[in-house]
Amino acid sequence: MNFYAISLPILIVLHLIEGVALVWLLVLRYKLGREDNAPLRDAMSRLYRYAVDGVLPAPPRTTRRRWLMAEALFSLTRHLSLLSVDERRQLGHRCSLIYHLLKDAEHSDGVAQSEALQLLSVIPLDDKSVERLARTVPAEPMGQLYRMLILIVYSPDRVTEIIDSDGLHLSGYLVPRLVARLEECRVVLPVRSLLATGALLPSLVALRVVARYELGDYWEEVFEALQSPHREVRMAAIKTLAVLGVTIDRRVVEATAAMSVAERREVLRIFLREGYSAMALQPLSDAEASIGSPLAEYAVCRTLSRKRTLVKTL
Amino acid sequence: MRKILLSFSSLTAIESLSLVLRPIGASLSVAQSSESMIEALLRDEYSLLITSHIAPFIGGGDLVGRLCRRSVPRPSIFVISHLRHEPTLLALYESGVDQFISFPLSPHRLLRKVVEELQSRP
Repeated sequence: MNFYAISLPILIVLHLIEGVALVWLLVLRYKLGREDNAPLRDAMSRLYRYAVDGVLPAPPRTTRRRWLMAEALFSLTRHLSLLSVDERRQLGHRCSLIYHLLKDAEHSDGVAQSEALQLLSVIPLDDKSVERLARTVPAEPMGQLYRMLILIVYSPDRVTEIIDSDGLHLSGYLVPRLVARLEECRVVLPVRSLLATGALLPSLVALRVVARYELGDYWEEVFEALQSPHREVRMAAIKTLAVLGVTIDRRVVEATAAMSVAERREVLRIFLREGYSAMALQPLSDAEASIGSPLAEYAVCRTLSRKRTLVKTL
Repeated sequence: MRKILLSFSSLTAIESLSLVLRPIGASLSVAQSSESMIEALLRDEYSLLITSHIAPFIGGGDLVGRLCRRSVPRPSIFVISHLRHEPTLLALYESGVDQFISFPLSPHRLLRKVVEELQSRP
């Protein structure tokens, strides 16, 4: 009697717990099985309706929904010229996107901080928000890139100062990305003043712009960049000169003389890749021959090898 | 009903273009990789292909040539990309791409181009 009186309630409670756990598992399975993109698609659809019909979306109540709306705004802005600056500013304030993304950028680090800054980069900021952002120093290069982008878009006339002042060291992959994003934001980059600073990042950005648009007017400035104390700038200047198709003269030879063998080989490869013939590379080959370097025959060998490959293909 | 194939690796790009193209009333199919795009193009008959994948056109695969050799009319091909590299764009046009549009694009402009392209087809 005592045994049943004690064990029955325990059994009932255990069965109840089991039942609740089963229901919870079923709900979880339904949520996981559901299409992941549905909420993002819904947010994009609401923003599109706002742009087309002027129906302002309701402010998101949860962090997740706010984040989705920021992602939707970022995606739509990157793909479609749909929402004007004023509309994006209004959305940013009404849905508290600016406040919360700035808070995320200030209090998180690493990838989360970079993502918050990336999403923030399509929302026009006011003076106070820019001041708050200027005080944030992201650790991740990607976060630094987006912070710089936001500051430049806020005051495009200070572009040289902003790129120069941060003292950043962006990798070879991030410089083209910064230039491409600035181009998407319709920011005009002053190439001459960027190169005149002589600093690492401004010079790399300016050389990237010259190479990207093959701006032949700036070849004198690019030649001057060969004297830069930064190795990356010198290599970027050589790449840019190769893209511009300039004749190899004394200045290029002198700039390459101080480089290591691997770097000199890279220089020859760059010029060959841009279609320079062995004859056009003769000044570099002569300089290699004068120091008895095995690279003296490099250009001739590569050109012959390419010709053989072409003959075989044809 | 006209069939349009949207082929982008980014889901948000697909969703953005679906929102723009919805008023046309065409049947929209989606491919998320260049392989599935080629497979769908060779399997079904589409009026228009809108894609960001450029490798199938300039990678030596001669995709447009393969589509032309079929008995059905080849789809019009629009490439939409963030690329602005001039030699690549020229190579795309030489390989048979009909239009190149760069992101971010104007929804009205895209809609007009798509409608004109669909109306000009027999």
